[in-house]
Amino acid sequence: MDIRNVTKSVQINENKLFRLDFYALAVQLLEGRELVAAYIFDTRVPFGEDDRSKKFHDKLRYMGYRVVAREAYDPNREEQKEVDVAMACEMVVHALRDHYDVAIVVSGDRDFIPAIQQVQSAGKKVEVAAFANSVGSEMRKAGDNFHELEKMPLLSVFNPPEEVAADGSEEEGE
Amino acid sequence: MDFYSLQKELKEKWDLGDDSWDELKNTVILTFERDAKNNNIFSKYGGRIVFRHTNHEDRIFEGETWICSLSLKGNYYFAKGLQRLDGSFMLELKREQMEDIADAVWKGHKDKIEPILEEKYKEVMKKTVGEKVAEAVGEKDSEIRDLCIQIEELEQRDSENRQIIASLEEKVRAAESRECPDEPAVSMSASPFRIGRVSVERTGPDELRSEAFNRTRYFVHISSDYRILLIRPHDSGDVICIDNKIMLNGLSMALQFSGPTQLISEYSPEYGGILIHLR
Repeated sequence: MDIRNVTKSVQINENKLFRLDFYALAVQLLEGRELVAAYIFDTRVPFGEDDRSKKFHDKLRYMGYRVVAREAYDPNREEQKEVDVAMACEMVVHALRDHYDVAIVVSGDRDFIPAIQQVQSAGKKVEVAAFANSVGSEMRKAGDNFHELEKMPLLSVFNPPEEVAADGSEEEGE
Repeated sequence: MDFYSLQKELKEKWDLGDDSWDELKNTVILTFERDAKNNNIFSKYGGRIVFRHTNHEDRIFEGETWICSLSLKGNYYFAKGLQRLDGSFMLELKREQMEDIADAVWKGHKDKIEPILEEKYKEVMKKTVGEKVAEAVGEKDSEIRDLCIQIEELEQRDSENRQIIASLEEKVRAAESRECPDEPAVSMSASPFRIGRVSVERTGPDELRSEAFNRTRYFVHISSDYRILLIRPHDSGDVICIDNKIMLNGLSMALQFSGPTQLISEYSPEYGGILIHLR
């Protein structure tokens, strides 16, 4: 999963009420199949600096993801470097080593098309999953199957926050 | 060892003749400064003023230290620069040479260097201690913030659990007050466990009700196109269910409320929960 691509796409739909559930995302894409490994690719600030994404990465690791965070974020241009190539390499290498049967690419970035083609030529199936607002027709057609993420129940919903009365005490429920 | 002693040692070591000794004797280390009165650059050696040799006026500058060759003319020495002693020169020295120099400087000027170093050490120590303290305080603050968040979450869960317990106790009291009928209360055909269609009613802007909501906690997910809602029972679920009712924050934003309605719902074995079609 190219996490920035996914979070950037879902931000348009997501508001403060709902939150993207990464665990549900992996489970629903699996559709009951056996999971070999779930990788998330992201960037982080160099060691020693205050890394705000560290807690987020730790949460993802707790869910069972393998987080690959490259030290290559360009704060001036607000873009990440090396991530797509790192992800493509991982995908191709594991395909050539026969570590999996199906790869699911969670990104709408068409830079992955050559890697997808290489994996397919190694005899593996590739599925693409992305939000409609971040994927072009080439990327939709590149995989053997396309998952439309906006149609999957992936945003967590919660109870309304408890109302607090003017005097600061919690109101009694009816 | 001072510089003159070193020169004498070298004379003996290399067995120098008088001419060579004169030349070596006149090779000295000088630091040049500017005379505020005449604006000349000069140094002092053996009680005499040392001026820059005419061939070296462009090379030797104020504040620089040089190994120079001196020639005496009248009452003045004139210096030809042989090697400027600066940072790069020091760095090019071998480690042993650097250690020898440092050793000589330390032996000759220990009393002057010690207070300087002490001051420097104090500054460094103060800075290091300050940084470490700030770092430790920062870490503790971060831990306290995390603990506060955890406490908040636990208090929220505690409050939810109290609501669930209160509703269950109410149900128990109601059941105890009823007389036991001869027939079963729920026929098998009306069992909420049957697979297929499930009756879910929207009873308020953010409220859903169903007989199938018979557990206390659920995970609820909505699709980002707001077309489907998945309600899955789980002991660690974020959403609590009281009296077969579930309150969902933001449901009214996803789907406008225009009065109580039945929603098209089904049990989905694929998702392991109740799937509600909102549109």
